[in-house]
Amino acid sequence: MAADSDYVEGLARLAEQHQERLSDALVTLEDRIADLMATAPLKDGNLFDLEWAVKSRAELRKIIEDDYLKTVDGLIKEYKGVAASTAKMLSTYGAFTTVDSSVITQLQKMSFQGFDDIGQEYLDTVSREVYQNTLTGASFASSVAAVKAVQGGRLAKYAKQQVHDSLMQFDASVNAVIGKESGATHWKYVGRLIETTRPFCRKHEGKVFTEEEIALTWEGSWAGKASGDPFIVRGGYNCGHQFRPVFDEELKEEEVERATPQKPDFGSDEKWTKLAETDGGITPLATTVINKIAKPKSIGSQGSKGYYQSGTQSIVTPAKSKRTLMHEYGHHIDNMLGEGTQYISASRLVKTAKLDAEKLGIYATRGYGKREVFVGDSYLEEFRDKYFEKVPIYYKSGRNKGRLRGYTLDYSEPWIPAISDIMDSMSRGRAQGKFYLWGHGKSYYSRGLHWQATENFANLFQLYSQGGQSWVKAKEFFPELSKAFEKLLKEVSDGTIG
Amino acid sequence: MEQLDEEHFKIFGVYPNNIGMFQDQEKLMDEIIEAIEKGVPYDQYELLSAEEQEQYDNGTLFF
Repeated sequence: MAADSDYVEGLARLAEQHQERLSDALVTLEDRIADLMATAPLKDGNLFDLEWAVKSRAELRKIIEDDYLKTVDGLIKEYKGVAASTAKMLSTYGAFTTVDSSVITQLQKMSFQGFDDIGQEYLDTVSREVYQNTLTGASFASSVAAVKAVQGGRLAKYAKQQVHDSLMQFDASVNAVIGKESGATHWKYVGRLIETTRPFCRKHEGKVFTEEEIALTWEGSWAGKASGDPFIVRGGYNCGHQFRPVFDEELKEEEVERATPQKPDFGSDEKWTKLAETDGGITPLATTVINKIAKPKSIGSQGSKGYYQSGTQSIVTPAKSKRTLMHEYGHHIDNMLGEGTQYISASRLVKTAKLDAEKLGIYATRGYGKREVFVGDSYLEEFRDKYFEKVPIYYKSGRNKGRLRGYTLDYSEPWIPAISDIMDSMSRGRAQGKFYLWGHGKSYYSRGLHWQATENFANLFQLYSQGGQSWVKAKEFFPELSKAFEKLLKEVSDGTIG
Repeated sequence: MEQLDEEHFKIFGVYPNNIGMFQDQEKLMDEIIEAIEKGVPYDQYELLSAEEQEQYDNGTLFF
């Protein structure tokens, strides 16, 4: 994985750790406030002592300082290490300047101020609750509940979000300072794609911008956008993306990539390019690879058939199935990158597939009959139940019209069929044969080992070309295999192979 | 699908042979029902042309 991707992953993990530490501190804070409330003088179970209520503010302040602000202070002290890691990450891309320690200290102070403001607001709110409840003679129980509601509501929500955003904004500032002092004119938008990634960030992920382009692009509005300098607020609240300055040498490489035609050229009828461009198109690296590899001799349709014939280098695919087109094209690329009759997947993707299959518990050394027991059945069954829905199918005509004919499986996410197909290959057709998941089945794989590798390649290419969540899921289910595949595609892109 | 497969097994003594030629389950269901009605075991391999069968056998046809 690239240094910047590794870095944002690490930063996200640190933010999660910080949030956990703050959550623990807030639990202690709540307990101590409950203890303080228990010291309130009561009359018939109700608060009444206004003098105590006024004095309790000082106690509350001390509790907030001890449990909340001290924890926050500890977290912010770690920011120095974050700045050092950022500089180290940037050094892998070029000779950037470093940030003056006084700037780091100032940024830390500003970060702390944000938390202090939340603490102050919390102190005011809780003190007010205590005083008002005492003034009206509210019951002890309802007063404690009211104070807890304040703590569990605004403080928990805002402080936890602040922990994440404070760290990210600190890092964003460090990136911006280093980049600008080094004279960077271009910036790459880097981050990780997760379920909650905003469409805005998803769209711009991995792109390189000039400052003018950033200003223009960030003029728009989207859900969760935060006001302020785009370099600092980035995608908005809870955003995990960063602008990384791009070094001149790297920029030249990017320009070469930008100059690459963005339309995939399948070497035949333009309709395949048009099909590939539907539903958000395909990823730039997949396009680059398609355009670099020698074209198949023909691409045509024969109803619902989908296959690749390596001898004649021809593809048969349903006219409107982008997924099948990309799958079969994956077979073609695998073939073209191999030598002679050997497919590149056979030398590059076998070991990693085995590692991932073993980790999932679905690695099969032979095809299993329907009535046999396979150790990976429970995982495959769980996968089916989680991602597929049973759909009843009824007879549409004839004497049985309206009667239940049976059930098929349906799925809701575009990545599910290819992931299922890889699981079927790893289990040598078990996923399809026993659980009716998407796959090629036992007899397809009974012909030899290289069929598993070639199907994995085709499915990975399909998922990679879809990009977004499809590739995120591929990495989630098959981390080793997807890493090896990504490396292979990059080698094609930079001309090392192919 | 499972019931249909078992019915196919009961009649022909073998399960339908699916070689992954297509993934449309409803179409697959239709074809297995048709095969049962015709009294011929379902075999996707037989849906390939003679040339395609030869390519499948010599390992140059990928689905």
